[in-house]
Amino acid sequence: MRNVAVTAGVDALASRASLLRQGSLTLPPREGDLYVFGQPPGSDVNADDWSTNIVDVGPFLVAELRLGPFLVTPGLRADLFLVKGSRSTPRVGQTPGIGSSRLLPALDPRLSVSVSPVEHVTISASGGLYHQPPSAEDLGPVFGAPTLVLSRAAHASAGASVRLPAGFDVEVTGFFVSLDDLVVRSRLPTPHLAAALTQDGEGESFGVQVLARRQLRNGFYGWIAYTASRSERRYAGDTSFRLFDHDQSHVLTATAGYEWREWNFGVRFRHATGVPRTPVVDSFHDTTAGRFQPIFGTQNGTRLPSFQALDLRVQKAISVRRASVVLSLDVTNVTNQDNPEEIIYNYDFSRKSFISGLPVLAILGARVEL
Amino acid sequence: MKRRVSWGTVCLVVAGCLPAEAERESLVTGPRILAVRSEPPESKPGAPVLYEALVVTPDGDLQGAVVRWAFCAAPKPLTENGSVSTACLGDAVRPIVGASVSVTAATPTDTCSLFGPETPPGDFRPRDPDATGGFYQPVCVEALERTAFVLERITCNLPNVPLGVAVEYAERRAPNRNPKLAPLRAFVNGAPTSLDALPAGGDVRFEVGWSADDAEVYPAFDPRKQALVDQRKALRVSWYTTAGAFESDVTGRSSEDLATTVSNGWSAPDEASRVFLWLVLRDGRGGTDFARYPLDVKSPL
Repeated sequence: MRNVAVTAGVDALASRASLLRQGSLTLPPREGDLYVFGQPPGSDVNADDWSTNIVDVGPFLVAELRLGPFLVTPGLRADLFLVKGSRSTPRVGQTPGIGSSRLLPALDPRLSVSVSPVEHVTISASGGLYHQPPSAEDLGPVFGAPTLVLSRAAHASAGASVRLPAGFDVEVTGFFVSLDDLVVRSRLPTPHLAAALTQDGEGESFGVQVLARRQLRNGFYGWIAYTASRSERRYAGDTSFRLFDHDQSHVLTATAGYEWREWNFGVRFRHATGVPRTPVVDSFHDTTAGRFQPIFGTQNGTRLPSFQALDLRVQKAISVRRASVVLSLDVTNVTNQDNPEEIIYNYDFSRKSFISGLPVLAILGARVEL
Repeated sequence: MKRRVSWGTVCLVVAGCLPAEAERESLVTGPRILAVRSEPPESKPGAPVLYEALVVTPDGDLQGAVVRWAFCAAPKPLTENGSVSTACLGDAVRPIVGASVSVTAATPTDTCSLFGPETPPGDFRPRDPDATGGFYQPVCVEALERTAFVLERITCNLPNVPLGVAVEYAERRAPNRNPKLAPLRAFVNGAPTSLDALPAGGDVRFEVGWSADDAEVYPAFDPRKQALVDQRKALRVSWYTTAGAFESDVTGRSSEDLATTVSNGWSAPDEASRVFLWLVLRDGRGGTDFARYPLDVKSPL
């Protein structure tokens, strides 16, 4: 058996985008913005059209080294991003735009180590750097910033997997992600020209994931996945983090199935913590527009209620001559759980209620395979 | 002693559901600052402006209310979607002398740099105008533990526009002026009816209008076309009352609709009473007018 295996390659990706945007700078909201669902856009308006070309060439090298009981997998990825934009500054009259063209290099070392100290038990750890180019929609000179560079993430994880009797597997993984140079809105009331967005965003996510599986045996199979995590964001220089707009503390998914002859029975249960929302603590009347405006409390200081759903599936396969017909009945949200999807307020924000998701829903389907 | 609990109370406590009419913006159930009329509605930096607030309660106007006025002194950061900076709900204000429902104050001389397109020396991003090409100085109004803002349109130069457009804009621009509400008329079963003899429980149709000159045409800079385009003002009327129920809280005419009147249905309360009605006319460029009417609802003879 070879002790070293090396893989080398090159990834290449090119994209071109032509964009037109007209309206308020503050909507749609970005991650970190204070807003409530259904809030009208700000009264400010502007317009911009621009185009971008983003080319990424990324050679990589990955080695697999067997060092005694350890499997060590070092890797190195060297990306070179070419980011071209049609305009560096907002358009004034019919003057032609002065474009920009930048080469953004990124060097991403990565390492993974795994070992099996005893039979059926594997312990692993990995870490590495990752880079991502700015989105085309963020590179406009009016609503964004054409000079945005790469965002960076450092990942680290460690875990163990155990193979148990009767076809059971259990995996436990802890993870930590540190994010830098995230694209966020400028907090300045008067930012520099073509700098409505900056890269002052920082973030981190950490948590643990547990996955327990039972492989198909005697017609029964199933798995349970549970993740406890916390994701936070802040502006560089801020002393404290706040919750990420899409943070979910607990996510649980349990699925089980049973196969009997041509029949397949499935059940799925999902639970997830509600995502954060910024509470409205008061309001004031904008007498010029004739509508109330919210006064916000602590950013992401509350959450939507948690989500739960129990789903069932029954499927039967029938052979008709040479064709196979699969009939299925899916019933989602069997318990008719009232799952809030969003907070809505009355006209002066003094009362709130929720927009709920789908009630119990049955779908009958058929698939014919010839 | 047994205490009787009505089904209505049960509904309020258990289901948290208020009667539908309590959710209507048009129904005045507590102190409100419904509108502020500034005269003129568009001013140059340093020019005096008369502000008059419409402060109401379910018992009618409060002409003698103590009102605190202040100019907002903090521009809105890009991270906020509201009409004014949250800093202006705190200390970032310049108090205006006076504590009555109307005060006169000069528009701050630095308003075009704080809230308009003027930027410090260097390459800074000018603030964006509204869809009518306007910039606004927020003025905070506080009365009866209620907070409101009025946005005074300010006369500033256009930001980052071609020279020819700037010259044409300077020649053609005219400061906005307030629209003027015509007297309210009431109809019952199609017949004109006096406001002091409206039938209890009856269906009343109100009609109000404005002058054709109020829907004026004005030039506005279109950032996509990089040119001036002519736009016509849209006008809308907000209806408020202390009892009864309107068909619509707001009625209006779009910029393409040249009609100068709007009507609204009103279900009068079942009991004979005095009801207060307020109308607020807004033109979309900061121009406002308002009117107040006492209505006498009487039982059929």
